[in-house]
Amino acid sequence: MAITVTQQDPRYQTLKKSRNLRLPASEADFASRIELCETASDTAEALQRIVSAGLRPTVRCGGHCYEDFVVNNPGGAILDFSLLEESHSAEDGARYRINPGKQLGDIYLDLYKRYGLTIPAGTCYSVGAGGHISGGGYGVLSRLHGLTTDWVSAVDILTVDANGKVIQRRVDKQHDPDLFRACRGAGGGNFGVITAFLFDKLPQAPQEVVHTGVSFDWTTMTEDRFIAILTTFGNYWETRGKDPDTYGLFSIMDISHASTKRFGLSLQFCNPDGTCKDLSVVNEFLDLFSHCNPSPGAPAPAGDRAIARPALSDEPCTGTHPMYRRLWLDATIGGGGGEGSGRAKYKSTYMKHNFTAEEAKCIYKHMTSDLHGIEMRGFVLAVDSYGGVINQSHLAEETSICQRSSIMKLQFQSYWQNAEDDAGRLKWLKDFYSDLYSGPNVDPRYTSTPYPGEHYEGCYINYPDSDMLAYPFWPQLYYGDQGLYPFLQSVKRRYDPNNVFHHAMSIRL
Amino acid sequence: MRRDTPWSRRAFLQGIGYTSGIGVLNKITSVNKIPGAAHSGMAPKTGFAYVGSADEVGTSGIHIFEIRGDQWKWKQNIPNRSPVSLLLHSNQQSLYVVNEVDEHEGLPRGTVEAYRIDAHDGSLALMNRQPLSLSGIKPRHAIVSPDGNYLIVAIHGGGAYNVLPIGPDGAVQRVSQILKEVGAGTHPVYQASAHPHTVAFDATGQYFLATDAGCDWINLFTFQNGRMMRTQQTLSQPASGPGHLAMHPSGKFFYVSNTLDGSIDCYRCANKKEIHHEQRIAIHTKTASAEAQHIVISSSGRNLYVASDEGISVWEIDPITGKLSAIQQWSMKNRSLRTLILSPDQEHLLVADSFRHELLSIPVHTESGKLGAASIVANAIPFTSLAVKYI
Repeated sequence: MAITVTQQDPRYQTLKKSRNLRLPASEADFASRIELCETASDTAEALQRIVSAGLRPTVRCGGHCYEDFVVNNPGGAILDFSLLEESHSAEDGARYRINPGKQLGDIYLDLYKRYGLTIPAGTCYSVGAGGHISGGGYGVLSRLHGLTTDWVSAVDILTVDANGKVIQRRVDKQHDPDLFRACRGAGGGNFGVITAFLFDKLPQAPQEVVHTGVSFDWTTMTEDRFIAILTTFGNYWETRGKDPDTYGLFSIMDISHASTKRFGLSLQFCNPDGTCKDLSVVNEFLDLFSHCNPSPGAPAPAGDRAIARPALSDEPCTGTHPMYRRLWLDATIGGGGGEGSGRAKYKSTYMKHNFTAEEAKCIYKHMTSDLHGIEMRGFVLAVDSYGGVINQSHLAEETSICQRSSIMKLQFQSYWQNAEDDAGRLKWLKDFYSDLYSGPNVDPRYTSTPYPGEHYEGCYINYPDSDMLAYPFWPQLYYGDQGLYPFLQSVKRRYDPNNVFHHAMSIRL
Repeated sequence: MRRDTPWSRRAFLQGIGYTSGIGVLNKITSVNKIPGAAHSGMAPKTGFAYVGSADEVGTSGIHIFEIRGDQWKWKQNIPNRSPVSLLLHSNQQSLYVVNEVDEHEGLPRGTVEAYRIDAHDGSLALMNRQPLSLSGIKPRHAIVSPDGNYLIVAIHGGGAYNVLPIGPDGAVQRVSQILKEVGAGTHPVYQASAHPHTVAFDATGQYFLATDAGCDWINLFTFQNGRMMRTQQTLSQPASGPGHLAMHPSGKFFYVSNTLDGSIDCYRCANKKEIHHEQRIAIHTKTASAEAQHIVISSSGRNLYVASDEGISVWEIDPITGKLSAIQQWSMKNRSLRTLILSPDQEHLLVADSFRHELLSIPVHTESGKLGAASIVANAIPFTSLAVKYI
């Protein structure tokens, strides 16, 4: 039996909240109760109770949703999985089971200690597996091992049939294969409640990794040098970064606002065999920036996600560039961040090619401009390396992640504390994004967006941006225009005909 | 469930057909010539009519007419998104509009609007617009609670009911209760999910009934302190698709027009707790349609009127059993009669013809309830909804 926390319960004020204090927009939008589920059967019972009462269920695993899809549920109920007990032990000695309520950091620890395995998921320790994996799930090992959802072999899911009855299903390539595919990348809150992800196999965790980075001085930065830095970064992923020996290299260029004085890139690397015996790939990569007047070491991460900073115990590597060798597990769980509880807004872009000079100029313009009355620190454009093993084209048909040609993924981030700054902050980011995608690379029909095409592959559903709802083609931004969205709509009609599971950007009937 | 012998329309008297020579005008007009007025010698009734319209290319609005006796004078058009249902507050100072839309500000939800009615000239001023709950798309019907404090919306597309408080100024406030429906029927096209269609209060305001065309349910809800709670569900004939609902003034009976098979069901509501099916009348056979025939009951409770493509059937209601007996088939050829209301004084039946885009006024005989000769009071408008107030 789930633990029910109603508005009269002293825990309610704490448990109703989102990590992102911007959400929901109104106090009246909060759910009326939270159901803390400890088992899958708890979940089924609670879900049936919610549906039968005519309430709307939303599902929370880690509470990291970038928009209000979970917490904006007026009068409804949140199924909270943070107490879900099933661990991800091997099932019948054959399959690995991941509980969607588990935090990524705990999963890394558990899988590594039990089996020496891992999932190629994100860097934030406290992100919950449920939303992360159902929306794709990528991280610093994804160029080497693909997306987490690419490894999923089966999913346990509760759906609600046409008559309102909760149905327990195990879906895979043989059983409800359409729903199985939809659960692999379409995003959370669409079709039902996932109670387990099952994996026939998982990648071996690296033994060790190196961390390093370089930074650049905003105070002496010129537009030309900024363009050189950005296009050097992008060019690598479009060219050399497609070679398999580089797949263990993952880098994030964190472009913070000029008021932060410095910006730069950080990276993690291991050879494909999970060691750091040969660091030539890293040295080659860092050498590319030598003409850009870099300073050694990555700048302090400005966002809530980053490659971990070096620790005192880390072993310095000898060589031209300062870098630190770390045990993979320590590096992975040591500094992932994700505990912030301020206000935030995000946007995203998949990029198929390097930055053009015009794009780099646009980014420079906005990152060096001031906004009257707004504190500009906390604006970050994170440019993540992408591609590698992710870009196996056949996976676009097997999963619901259609973006299999991109070399970089951009995450636009804004963090602040005061509600009075909401409007200014949101507008600045919106204007920046719109300006960046109003250039010659963008079809005028889709101006202000990175519509899938020659240059872009749209946006990442796990970085949802409700601003995109202003465009009638918003589904194509997230799911492409090659038939995936109509497929997902057919799955929706079949498995959730009454649209019990819905949010602002859920698959529409 | 009991099924009665299908009604034969040959049993009806032939109604008096429309024979006016007035042709279709090229623009919105009001028509002044009224044959056969039923209340000669009386001071002409004055008031205002509010008519929602929507055409196939998406142009829609609310037209305002000034009524003086049997003459309708067009005064104003307010652009509006799919005004599928118009309803007056009991104080006659506010008009509420249900917008049958599937998106508002980028989100999948319909809207409702509150307009202030100018007491002198009947003009409308938008007070506010409220979005319905998320996924509450394509609402079709709403009703104001008898105490005037709440608006209850049946959300056809999104499968839900919303309760919205009405403020002291008449503005509609944000949704205060959401009831998400689940269910399905047997019709493969129209009944894949729940589709709440119509809501109707009893006179006390303590309970209301709601039809669900998607899963063949008739729902009984109590309504106390602004919150609805289901107390009973009754299954209608499978694949009938319960649609429009009219409550008898006594509160003992109600009538449902079914969307999928063209039938009319009579139900008895016992002790406000139980629903019993009393009678089924097959008006005509439908193969597939999502449109129910509009129905309306006279305030005396003596007559039920049913609009269809073939005219209007007039029924007498047995005051004891609630059962219907046919007394007239009022026919018009080449018509598609939809929205149907009785004028506030009950002397005219107002009906919109969606085929010819005309609004007809039909006199009602005070004693028998039978219909007289129709006249066109407005035309050239694709009417979808209608509300009338007299001063």
